[in-house]
Amino acid sequence: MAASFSASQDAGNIRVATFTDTSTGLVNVTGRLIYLRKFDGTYLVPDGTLTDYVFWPIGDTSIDIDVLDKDYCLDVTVLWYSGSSIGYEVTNLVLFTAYSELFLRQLTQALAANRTLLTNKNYWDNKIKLRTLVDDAAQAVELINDQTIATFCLDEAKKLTDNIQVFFG
Amino acid sequence: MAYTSDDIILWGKISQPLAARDIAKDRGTKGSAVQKDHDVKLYVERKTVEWYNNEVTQDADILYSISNFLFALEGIWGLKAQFIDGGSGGQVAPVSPSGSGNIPNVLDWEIEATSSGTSPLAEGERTVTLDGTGGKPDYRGYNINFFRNGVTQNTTPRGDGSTYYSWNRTTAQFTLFGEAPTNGAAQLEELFRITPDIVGVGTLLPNNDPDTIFLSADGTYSLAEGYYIWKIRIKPTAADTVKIGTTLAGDDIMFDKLMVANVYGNNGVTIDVGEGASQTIYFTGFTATAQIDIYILPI
Repeated sequence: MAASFSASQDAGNIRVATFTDTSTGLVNVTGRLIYLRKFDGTYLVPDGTLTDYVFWPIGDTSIDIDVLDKDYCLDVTVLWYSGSSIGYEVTNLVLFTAYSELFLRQLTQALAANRTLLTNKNYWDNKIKLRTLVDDAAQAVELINDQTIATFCLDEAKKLTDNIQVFFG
Repeated sequence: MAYTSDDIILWGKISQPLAARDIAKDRGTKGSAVQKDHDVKLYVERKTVEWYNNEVTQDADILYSISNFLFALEGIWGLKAQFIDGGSGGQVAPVSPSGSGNIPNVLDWEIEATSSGTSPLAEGERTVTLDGTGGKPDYRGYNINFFRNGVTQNTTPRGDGSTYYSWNRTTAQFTLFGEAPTNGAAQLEELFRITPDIVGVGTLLPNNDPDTIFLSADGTYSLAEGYYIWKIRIKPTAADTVKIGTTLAGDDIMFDKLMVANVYGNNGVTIDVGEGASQTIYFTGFTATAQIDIYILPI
């Protein structure tokens, strides 16, 4: 018996975070909530949501939450409750980097179409920096479970992706 | 067979340390566009393709485009990676060069006063066509290895008097070179050995590999039967005035032209010479070593 969940994001719609309940053998569960807590302690919720959490119907194995306006490292908590009491609780640090990854892919597309960029130092210096920041964020989560460092890396990455003319022109 | 993105990604992973090693040793990168951080670039591009390849939603054209770009970036290391990978990504079917499909015999003989099918060069001779005629083996389509008196010979002249040779895989014309007075010609009782390179077997197709000769004085080139010349490029080491013709000292292919030393530049000529029969082309005016690349095609 174990409570667990997984998270994913797809290039088809990078605004959407998909969570899947992978639990086995849970008993007496009547409801489920999901919290997406940001580094600053506030919660990420879809527009119009008045609570800190998103209700996840118990009959749905997975839920799509349209909430990602940029890359995030989120402290995700899922609560399984029975009546008014919490039965199970699982918290995972989850990284969403599709914005940066998609940007990197677009840079590669541009490079494939315009080989003169191969010798553009500014382009490469910053592309390598961007890749490094995304990798660092992943390592911050995987190796030391540190939301602070991961968020810092993603914020730095966003400075690059927000200024394409400056850093990749 | 087209390579898959999975193949290219795997080769990218293998290419990265191979590139890093070669760059660190400055091996195979001199004079090329490869930069010191090429291995890092390989990593960055491979990670990007890898990410997109794993996404559920993909645009096939985009994946194809960025995968091909990664493959191009892998360059020579990507080819090495294919060997390390066991060649799972692409295979070249062995092609029989011509005739029965059997691998031709090795030629190994001692130079005598006369030639035959199994000892195709005689004393004083410099060139022979190993195309299966006259009892000779058919080496067309093969690369070859040539050993002279037990010493491996090269196609690159060192300019120190040592001998070398040229080989045209398409026409199977084999030619000896060296310094005057013999110019590399076979000498009585020398031991020669020519082996077809079965590892390098490829298809017998017209190609753009030139037939390269080196001349440091007036000399000739033998155009094989069934071929024509479409271009001659010349890279001399001296600013000689050179002409080319189909007769001794003739200029019907190229009038007297002042060469620019050490470059190909406009030293050569684009032509259409050859009517089907074998033909001798005469080069007149060289006073120092010149590399002459002769581009031929089947008629």
